[in-house]
Amino acid sequence: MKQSISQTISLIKSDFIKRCEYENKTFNFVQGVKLCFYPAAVGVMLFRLQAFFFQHNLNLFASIIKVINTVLFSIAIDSSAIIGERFMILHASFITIGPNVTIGTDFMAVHHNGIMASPFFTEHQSAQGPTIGNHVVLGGGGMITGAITIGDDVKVSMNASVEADFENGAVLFGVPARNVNQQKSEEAAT
Amino acid sequence: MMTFNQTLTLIKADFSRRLTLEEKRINALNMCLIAFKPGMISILCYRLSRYCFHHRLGIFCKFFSLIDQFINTNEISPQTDIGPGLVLSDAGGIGIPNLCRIGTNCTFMGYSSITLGALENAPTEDDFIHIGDHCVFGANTRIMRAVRLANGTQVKPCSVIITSVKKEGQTVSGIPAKHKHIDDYANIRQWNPLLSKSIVEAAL
Repeated sequence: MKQSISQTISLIKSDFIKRCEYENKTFNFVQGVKLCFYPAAVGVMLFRLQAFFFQHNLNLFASIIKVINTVLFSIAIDSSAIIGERFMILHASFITIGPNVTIGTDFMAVHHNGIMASPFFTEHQSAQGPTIGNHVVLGGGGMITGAITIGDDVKVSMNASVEADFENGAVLFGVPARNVNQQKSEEAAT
Repeated sequence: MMTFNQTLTLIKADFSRRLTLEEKRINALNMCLIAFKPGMISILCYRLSRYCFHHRLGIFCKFFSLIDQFINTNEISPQTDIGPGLVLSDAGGIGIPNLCRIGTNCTFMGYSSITLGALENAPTEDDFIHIGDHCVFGANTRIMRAVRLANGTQVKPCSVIITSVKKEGQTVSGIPAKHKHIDDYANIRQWNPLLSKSIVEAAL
């Protein structure tokens, strides 16, 4: 389904509202204009425009916007990535989101994040990227790779590398990532 | 001494490798189009700065390195020796120092960094980092010492390598990196890290 220009504007507005809520400010026209000079917010806005052009088969404009976004803010998001509303990048620095990635609403990336299909050799060849639920926070340096599914309300810590499926409410640490919440509950049971 | 023809051959090999991985035809038009991708600009700058370094054109060498740093935030030393078929991801942030030798057809997916600690004496052959052919580096990986990585080493994201890898086709992961399973090197040579499937040669 192609997204119309009004849907694109409402998506950008929802991203700006999320940003204002994070900074404890109420969203209004002045705040919106201020955010247009903020690199991380502009990066998200450029991605929404890129996705709009891609869905209307204007690939040239989409790739030009992608190059601008990459060079100015180091945010390289593939046009075919599906990201829900209220998407937020905290710091515009080295965010890579590859093709075939699906992300829910209220997603927050901090910096130095990568979400992509696994570049490593496996017997089961799959170009499918990760599927991520709603209200997920990805800490600085956190990586999510491979054809995996991550539930809602998951928190990924700094420099964690997520390579397996995790259910709702998980708190992930380490390389490769482990669920700390689950470990705590198992210790309490024993 | 590296001639300009050799530099052109290397650049052509890099462009052909990227086009093969993206499953596009290898022709002049596609090569011109792909040259606008930030990762390819970075490789072009590195190859030209290395040519200038060999011919003692210090200012131009610095100029190309600076373009690379401004556009793509990659910092690749012109003294380092990288084989043909290099693939860098578009996001940038890759740091490669001068004490490094990298083989053919290596892939760096996002902000990998190869770092050496401070050396007290002049570097010897033991202080070089040797990286074999067909290695794949995930994002956010670091190499902290003068290690040797065998052909087809696969470094998982966020790992820190402090020991050498001797077996071909080994996967390493963790902080510090532990040696995990070993895959067949012949399969890894045919692996496409950009599209996560086996390489399909585009019909000419």
